[in-house]
Amino acid sequence: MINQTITPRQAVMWFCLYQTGSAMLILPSSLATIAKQDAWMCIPLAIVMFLGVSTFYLAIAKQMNGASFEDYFQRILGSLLGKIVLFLFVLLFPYLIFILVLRDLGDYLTTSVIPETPQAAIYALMLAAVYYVVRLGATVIGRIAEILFFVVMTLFLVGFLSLFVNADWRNLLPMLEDGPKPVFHASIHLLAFPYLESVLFLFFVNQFDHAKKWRRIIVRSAILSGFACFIVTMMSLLALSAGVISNLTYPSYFVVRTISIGDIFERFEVVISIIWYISIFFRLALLLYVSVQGFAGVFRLKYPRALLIPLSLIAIMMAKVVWPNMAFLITLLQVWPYYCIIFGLLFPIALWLVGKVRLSGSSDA
Amino acid sequence: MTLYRRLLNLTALLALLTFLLSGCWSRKELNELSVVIGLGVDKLEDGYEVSLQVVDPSQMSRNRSAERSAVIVISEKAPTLFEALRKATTKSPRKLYLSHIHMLLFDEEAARTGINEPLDFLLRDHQVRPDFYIAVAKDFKAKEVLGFVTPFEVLPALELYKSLEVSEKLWAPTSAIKVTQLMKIFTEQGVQAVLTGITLTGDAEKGNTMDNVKQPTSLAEYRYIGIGVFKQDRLLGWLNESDSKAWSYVTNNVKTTVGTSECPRSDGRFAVDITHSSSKMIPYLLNGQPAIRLKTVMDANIGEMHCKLDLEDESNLLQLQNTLNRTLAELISTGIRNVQQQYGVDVFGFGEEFHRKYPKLWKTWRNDWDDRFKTMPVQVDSEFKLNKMGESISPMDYKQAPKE
Amino acid sequence: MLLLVIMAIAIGFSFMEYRSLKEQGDYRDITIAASLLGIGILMGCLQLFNVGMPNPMSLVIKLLQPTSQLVSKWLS
Repeated sequence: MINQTITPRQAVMWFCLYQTGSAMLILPSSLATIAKQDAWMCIPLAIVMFLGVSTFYLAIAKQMNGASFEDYFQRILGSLLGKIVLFLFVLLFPYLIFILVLRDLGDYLTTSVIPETPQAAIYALMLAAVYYVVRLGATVIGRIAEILFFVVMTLFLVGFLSLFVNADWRNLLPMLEDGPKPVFHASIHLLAFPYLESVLFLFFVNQFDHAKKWRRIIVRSAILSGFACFIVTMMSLLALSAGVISNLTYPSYFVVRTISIGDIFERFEVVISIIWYISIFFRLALLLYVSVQGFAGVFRLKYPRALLIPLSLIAIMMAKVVWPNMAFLITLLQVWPYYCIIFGLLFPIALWLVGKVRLSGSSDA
Repeated sequence: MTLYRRLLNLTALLALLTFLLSGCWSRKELNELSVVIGLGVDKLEDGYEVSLQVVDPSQMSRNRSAERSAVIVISEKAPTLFEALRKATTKSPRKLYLSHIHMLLFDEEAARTGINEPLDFLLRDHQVRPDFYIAVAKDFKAKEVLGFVTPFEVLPALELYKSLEVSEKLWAPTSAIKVTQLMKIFTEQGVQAVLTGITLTGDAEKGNTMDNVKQPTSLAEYRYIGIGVFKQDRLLGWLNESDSKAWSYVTNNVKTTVGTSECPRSDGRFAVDITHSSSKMIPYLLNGQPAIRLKTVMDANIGEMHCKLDLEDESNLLQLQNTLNRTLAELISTGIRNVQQQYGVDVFGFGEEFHRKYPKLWKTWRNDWDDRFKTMPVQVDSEFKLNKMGESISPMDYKQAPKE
Repeated sequence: MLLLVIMAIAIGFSFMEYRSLKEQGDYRDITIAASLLGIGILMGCLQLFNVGMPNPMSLVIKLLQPTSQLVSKWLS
């Protein structure tokens, strides 16, 4: 499972679907609550900030020098400390997000589409597919990403661009009513989730020849997913207004419900569910892949795929616990960007500094 | 693995997967659902009486019985809407399915007490789609309007829906308000809501029986009667036909309509077919206080002439145009003035125009905007353009009568 | 009930995996995977008997809420 390769094109598509996944559904609501009708301005700003962050990830990738991310930890922090730090990192970042995403999927499906289904069934079926695909390895995931990317993007564009008919450009005025500060605040939120999770893409650096190639991949995928988020936010703002969106739990689902062109093109919202389900599949696949790689690096396992079933099982059990109700989730979403900043920005900075000290020290000696 | 073995595995897997396609827990078989097409909310002292117009599926098939009605109206009383809908299962053999609601009716009492509370359920439920129209029933309970037998369509709620859609496009005083529009208005401080009104004329009791449609003239009819003015979510009162027309013109909701005016030099009236109407609100400051100028541009063709004018002469046409200009400007200013004096709430959206153009001033005005609206000067510049006159040129009797 | 089915399927598939690993003699892998599986089964049993499990997110919220309030005040 470790030694399978993925082509750059497939990687771009996988990462783009990863970033579009959770963001697409709830993003317009959280952005509109902070920035109101200027929510659409946050996205270009966040992408620009991400470009800066990605040069920094490139520095770490260069420091890794062809080793895998798990070995890099142990090289710069020593064997025991490296294993402990890697274990904590994988447990608290990719694996925790894995559980959160799983619970989010269950919540969404039981709120909007199939209310009577017990959540454990939803988790079990989704994880069965994810387990199988991760077991087969990154090559297979890449191929599936290539196929499903076009399906998802076509349906996405058809769905959201047909909202142009209901567009009211006055919903975007007045611009910058409260000044640029709310826009900046909201773009920090957007940068943190989902773009700072790109630190997980560092697990894939050793699949590509140069670190620069890897950076080009993550920048391309960020631009693609930023474009998708932009369309979602802009269309939601134009069709409904910022005041309405900020009060909805799943705004993009609701806004697609309002499409009605010529009495024929109606009731399109289930397609949004399908798009979202596919994106979540890729999100779960990447998170599980990264978690298993990380834990295998900690315990020095030869065949990481033995860990797949226990990790999936623990995720199913923990998913119920992770937030007791929706109001807790809303509070959690307010602090979540800072959690991502810790793991996606501060922790890599610390790693890089330690790496610089250790590696330059060893080259001097 | 041999090809045979692989095919066998694949077939077994597909067979297992089809078990998952049935949706298991959330499956809804069609013969277990009652499709609700109309919802009515009447206010009682301690809650609401919810009426549901439900399709009778056996009546929609080929062997329908002429004795049974195509819809069934179920009513239930409860403090909240959600409770009432579940309680309604004590009277219905099937689960209610709300995705196909076409009309939501409030009675006047419920509208005057506030529509936010009943609407809350409809915005939270996952089955309800925001594509139905809302109306307030005047002088009748929503239950009676829902039980009305309509002449054209078999399903009454569909007839009300289509009639509202068609009438909105062709006759200015009727305005169809969709849920998303209402949601948006409720979040904005510079504009108040309006809802269209519906009433029954004639013998309303007989209108609820099949006798209504057994002869060419119906015993009772439904009518859409202009719009009702809301403050926040409470109904204040109704606007008459010309004020409703003014509202439609000002808020750019007119697609086509008919405008009439007095003849300039003789008795009688003439009517024009307005094909295109657009209005722009231009906010400006008059001594630091808000004021609005409205520019309306309309294209029209002459539809009906009772005036004794020779339309081959362009000056006559221009005279008619000027008359229309004046009449329209007066209609709009009178309409706005009536709303200002009678109700004092900004239903036209002037506040939001100021919000968009002068955001900093708006912050100081928005809490008492309705007071400012009451005394706001409004200037109407209307531009009317008469283009064509239909198939004939001058009125028939004009050509026959001797010229003066 | 559903949890029992899920746990049973998990144990079943795990045994299939361990069989192929045992042939290669990786007992270390098997012990680690089995212990994680044991943790999972334990959690499942706790849930079946409705014993509450601690929620890690409450700790996250408690730690990070002051920061979030500070940034909101600073940036609005």
